[in-house]
Amino acid sequence: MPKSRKILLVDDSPLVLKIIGQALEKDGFHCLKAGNVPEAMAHLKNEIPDLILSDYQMPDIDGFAFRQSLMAIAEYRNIPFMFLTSIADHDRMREGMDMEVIDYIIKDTPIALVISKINNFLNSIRERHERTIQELSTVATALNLYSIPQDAPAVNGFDIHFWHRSYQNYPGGDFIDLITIDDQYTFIILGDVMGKKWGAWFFSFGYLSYIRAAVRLCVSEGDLSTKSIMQKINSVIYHDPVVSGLLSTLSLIMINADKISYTGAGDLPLLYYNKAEGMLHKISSAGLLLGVSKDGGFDEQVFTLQPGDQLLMVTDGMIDKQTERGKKTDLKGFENELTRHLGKADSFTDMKENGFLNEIAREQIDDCSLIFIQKK
Amino acid sequence: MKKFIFNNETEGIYPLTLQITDYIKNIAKHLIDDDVSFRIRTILIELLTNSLKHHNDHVTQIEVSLKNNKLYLKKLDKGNPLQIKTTHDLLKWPLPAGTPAKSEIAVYGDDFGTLKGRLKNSNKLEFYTEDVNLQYVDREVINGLNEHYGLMIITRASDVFKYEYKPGTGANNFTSIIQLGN
Amino acid sequence: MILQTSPLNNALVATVQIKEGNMALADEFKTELLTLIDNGNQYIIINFEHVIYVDSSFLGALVSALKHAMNKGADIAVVGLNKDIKSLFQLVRLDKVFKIYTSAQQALNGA
Repeated sequence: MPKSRKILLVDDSPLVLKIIGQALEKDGFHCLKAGNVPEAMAHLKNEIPDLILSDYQMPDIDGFAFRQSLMAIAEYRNIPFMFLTSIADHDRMREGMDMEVIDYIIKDTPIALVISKINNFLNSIRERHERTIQELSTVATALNLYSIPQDAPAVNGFDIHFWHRSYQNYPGGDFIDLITIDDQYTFIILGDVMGKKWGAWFFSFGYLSYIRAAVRLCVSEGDLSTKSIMQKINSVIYHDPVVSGLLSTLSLIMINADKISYTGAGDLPLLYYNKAEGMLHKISSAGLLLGVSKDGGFDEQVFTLQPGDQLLMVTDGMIDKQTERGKKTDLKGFENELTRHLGKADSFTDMKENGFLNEIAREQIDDCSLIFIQKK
Repeated sequence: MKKFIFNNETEGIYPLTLQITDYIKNIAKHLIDDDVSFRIRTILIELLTNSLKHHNDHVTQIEVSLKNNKLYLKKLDKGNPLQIKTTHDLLKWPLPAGTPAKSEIAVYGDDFGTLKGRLKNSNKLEFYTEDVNLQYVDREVINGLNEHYGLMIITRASDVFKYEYKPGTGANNFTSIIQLGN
Repeated sequence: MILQTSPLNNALVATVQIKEGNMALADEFKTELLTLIDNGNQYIIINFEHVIYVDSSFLGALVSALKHAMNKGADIAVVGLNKDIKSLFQLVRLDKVFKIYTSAQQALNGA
């Protein structure tokens, strides 16, 4: 079973809120209650429910107006919505209903039937949803649209592993790429397009194609500076009206023999394990998210990896956790856990076999990606 | 409680498995459906196989008992005690005094899950798995697959699976518990 | 020999000839499979129809062979699993890793 389903219940009658609320909670739903539309809107700011069940007739703002205002907000438009109506409202309501209201419940319906109607409604939405995902996923596979490479890459002198888990098996916003040029330069790209699920995936694929092309073009023109390549990518994204509204992080590293050049855009720091010191360092970039500003403020850091040194690139899905008080970002905790596994000849295998990565997969609330690089 | 003796010959594994399963079906007829029956056979095969590897010429005994709708399958021998080699440590029973302060150890794992053990005290270990619902299997997943399934199989097929070392006698007891009915 | 082989179109059907897939024969089973892969067979259909049970060591051998096959660009399918063996695959999630078909012919069509 998925975690408990959330319903936002909106009704000006405290009695209705109480009765239906109790029945829903008894059936395993988590119930948010609002006595009027402004209260409902305040709830929505904090969390998006699986369903809104709203009274039709309410003082000040009625259910009709509530629904209309939801339709105007992209984030809220797709929340499944049901009206609670009395028979008297019913005909009037139907007239005004070209707003994709999917269903309604008559208030005098016995409570057990109300619950089963809600369950059926949510199940049918879920089934439709799963079917759509299945279809999209089939198409994506058929078209060979992958945001993540299928194989771990081979780079001379390095062990490189990717680890990626999409959230609830949706393709998400993370993208990874590896481009080898002339057997001498290898570029590794890790990015995260902000946005939700399929939307993000769609754009991550577009971004990725674009970035691949940009890196190759730059290199073919003799540009071998990650900073300069990042600036060019940023500049085009900044000026392109189609993608400029999207935000994405990007970490770009170039490997040339034992030398690493790194430029980042709004990304998490690289985690660098220095074998000789036995210590984990963070290497932070100065750049802003792609497309945010014209020049992006990028820097470039160049350092050398000694045999046994390890370098990790991660997206924020790796360090975000759901706690009882909401989402928590915990880079420090991640580092602490990580240090137990780093510095070994087979650190990546160790992270897999000892359950470290499995625990992240079990607790994930977003796409998770990790790139592990070790100098042989 | 009923005792069975295993001769520690490969040829004996399956006949003994069937013999014990038949006995259980007799004492708990209405509680054994196809699924439970499969779990019992699987656990027995793996317990006996484990014994083949570690018996060291000692006799192996299987004890079967039924209490409060719980089926206990217990394997006792005085062969080599349990050894768990993780990438971090080699744990050998009896554990040296003062070893590990932490009570949970990862035995082995791959992208589908991790087999872990919880140390109850220095002589008792209870196994459990942490599963991952992985949908996409790629080359990296396959290359990383674990190839040791014995303890994982017993743990997944049991409701409880534990190991106990008896310091006095040097006996090793593995106990698998299956909840029958509800 | 544990495996008896016969070609079927582009595939090779390897029928397991023993009834009990246990520790005593797991190493040999693995060696024979690896040899078939090294001999350049691209698609090996392992037929278990005569096998009553397999144990953990047999599963380990199968997984090891699959890794080897994959790294050689070959593929493995398993067919003829009885109910217990199929349940065992599910128990350790190998049903998500191996291509499982009811018969060699189906494995051929599915590939």
